[in-house]
Amino acid sequence: MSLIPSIEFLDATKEFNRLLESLSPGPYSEEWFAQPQTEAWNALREGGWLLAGGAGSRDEELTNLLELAEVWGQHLIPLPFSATLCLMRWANSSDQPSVSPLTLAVPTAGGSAIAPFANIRGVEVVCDVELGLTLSAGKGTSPDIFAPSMPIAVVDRASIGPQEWLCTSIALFAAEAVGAARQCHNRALAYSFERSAYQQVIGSFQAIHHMAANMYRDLELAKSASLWAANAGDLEEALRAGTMAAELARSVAQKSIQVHGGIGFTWELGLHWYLRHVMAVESFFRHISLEHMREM
Amino acid sequence: MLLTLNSPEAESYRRQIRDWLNKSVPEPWLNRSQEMLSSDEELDLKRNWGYSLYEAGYAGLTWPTVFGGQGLGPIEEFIFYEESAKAGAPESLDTLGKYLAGPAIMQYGTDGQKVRFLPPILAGREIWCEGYSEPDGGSDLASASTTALRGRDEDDYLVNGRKIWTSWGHIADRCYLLAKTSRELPHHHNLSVFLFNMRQPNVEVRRIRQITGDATFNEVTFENALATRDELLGVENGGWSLVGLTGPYRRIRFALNGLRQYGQLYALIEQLSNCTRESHLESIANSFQDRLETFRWHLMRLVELQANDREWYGPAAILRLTFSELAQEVTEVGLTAQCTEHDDYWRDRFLHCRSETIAGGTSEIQRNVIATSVLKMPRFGQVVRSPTLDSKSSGE
Ligand SMILES: Cc1cc2nc3c(=O)[nH]c(=O)nc-3n(C[C@H](O)[C@H](O)[C@H](O)COP(=O)(O)OP(=O)(O)OC[C@H]3O[C@@H](n4cnc5c(N)ncnc54)[C@H](O)[C@@H]3O)c2cc1C
Repeated sequence: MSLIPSIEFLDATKEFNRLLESLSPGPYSEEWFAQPQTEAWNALREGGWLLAGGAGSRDEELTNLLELAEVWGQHLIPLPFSATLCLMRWANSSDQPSVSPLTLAVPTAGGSAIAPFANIRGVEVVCDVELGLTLSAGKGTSPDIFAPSMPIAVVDRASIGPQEWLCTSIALFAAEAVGAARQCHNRALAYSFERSAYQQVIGSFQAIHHMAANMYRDLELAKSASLWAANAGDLEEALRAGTMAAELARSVAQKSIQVHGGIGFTWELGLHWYLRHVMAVESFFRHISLEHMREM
Repeated sequence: MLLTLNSPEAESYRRQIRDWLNKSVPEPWLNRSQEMLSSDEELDLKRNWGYSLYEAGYAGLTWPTVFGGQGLGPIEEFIFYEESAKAGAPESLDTLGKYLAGPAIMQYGTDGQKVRFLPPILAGREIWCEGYSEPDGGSDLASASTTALRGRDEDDYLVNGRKIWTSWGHIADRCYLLAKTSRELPHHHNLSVFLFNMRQPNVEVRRIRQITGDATFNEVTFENALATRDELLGVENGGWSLVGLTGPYRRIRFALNGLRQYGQLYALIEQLSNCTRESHLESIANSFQDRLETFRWHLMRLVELQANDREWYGPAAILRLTFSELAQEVTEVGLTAQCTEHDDYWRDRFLHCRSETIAGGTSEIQRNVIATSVLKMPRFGQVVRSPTLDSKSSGE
């Protein structure tokens, strides 16, 4: 597998980015996150994006899909895009007509199972990719909405299937975290050109330069870690890599808040949605219990 | 030339390298933790390693074939270094020749200079040092005050002044020397680079003892030392652009430094894992393994970006910062590992790694460079207009 996306695919991601910009004009608010995202889902389906990873085939390079998931992470639309992308890729039949939002459930250390987005109406929890079984849609309970762009709910049972598909989805979620971090990085830079203190733009202070350099370093490494996750040999390695990517992404997001000063600490600016998204990915990874996975 | 690390061709190249290394890395080098080598013995081993690489066709993997290299790409070089690190191979002494002077001569040198200087670099028969830093300025290189001046109608230059922290100056045959060639021209426009002959009477090399107790760097004093016209690289007073290299050779230098750094980190972290097995520090060592693996994937991504002519400078610019600070952290944990058998090792590595955030440009300077060259942030006092940020941009 090539470690860099193809030029053609990079062009496609630009188009994808434009679509997502139109679907999530922002600024984000709790009301926005609570709205049903039917229109967005339809647009994704009509644009062919849900099958970008191949339907029932694994032809498309995973490196390219990471790029797509990263762009997705730059926009916070509360839908299981990465999970669907992954499940469609691993699905048994190649003619999946409905393409509803799909998610997967993982066993947790406590013995229960959780699934991102499983509380949202219309989202189906896939329990066996090979047999195409799904649990009833939207039945997840006790959702953790720490990050409204990625709620995580409790479900009755965990999905079963080849471990590779869980590895793929870990890589894609990691890439989402990288996307969220990229947004934080870009916003910090933009702010550093606008905001002044002591008759200087803050972006000219060396302390801010050095923070930005660290942010950039962590962003680049996070991206490389997501690539590692995509190439991991087993679930344990995928989790190590995914966790590394998410931790580095969080490091970018938290530095971005520091660059913003007081406004960075507010609910109003909106940066916190990204930080929370990254933290939700991190905690999703943390909850996946390898021990229970092995028992299945 | 390979374009991806993950292919049957890359795998077969890797096997070929591994086989060669297995039979070629010298025994005394592998056993040096049991039977300590004197610094002269170590030097000899490293020098001989340079010869072995040449004889086996592994010197100058990415040098073009017209200059005697193998004409391969960064991916082959990556594989070679990764396998070398795993096999515990020595570092050869000729890195400045192969990655700085050599590439610069290929790019800016005259035909005569190419013929004179490139073959011995490749064969490991002439060792180079880098003469940039001076007592009054290391970070601020453009303020160099060592002069190389010639009288009107004269061809040769007389060099006067002092360089400091010159690594391997005591064994070097040649120096990639930055000196002021004009008293009148402004900063940055008054410097030239010389392919300077260290083996002459008017050059005095004083070894400087380092915090490790070793003395691998030096103070070099020039008193009317001679630099001939043939040793001027590029044009007179055009030396500033030769300091960091440009074009494809700059790319090679970045990647190769990253590969060497990976090798060093690999050795350190493997050792730490051994020293901390089943101790309270084991999980920290594991987290270093993960950071090392991330560094490796980053490097692989970088070489693929380079091999495919994509934007690579930003990802390359973070390598050294990442490596040097991680290496220091690892040695700090190593020190507290309470592995008495390796106490000396960790003390030595801890002290040694202090240099990694200084030599070749301090971490502070590297962060300045990332902020201003990669992220295009304004300098203090500069009036700015906000740039439009491309969400994917990471390049120069
Ligand atoms: C082991 C080793 C090997 C070396 N080998 C060589 C060699 O072979 N050839 C060679 O030419 N040199 C060599 N050097 C020298 C090295 O490149 C310099 O030490 C380095 O560039 C720093 O310069 P300086 O020592 O003059 O420190 P200074 O430039 O005096 O810096 C002192 C402190 O001020 C900080 N500082 C300076 N300017 C800025 C700024 N603009 N912004 C923020 N902080 C700043 C620095 O980061 C540093 O912390 C070697 C050094 C070491 C340790």
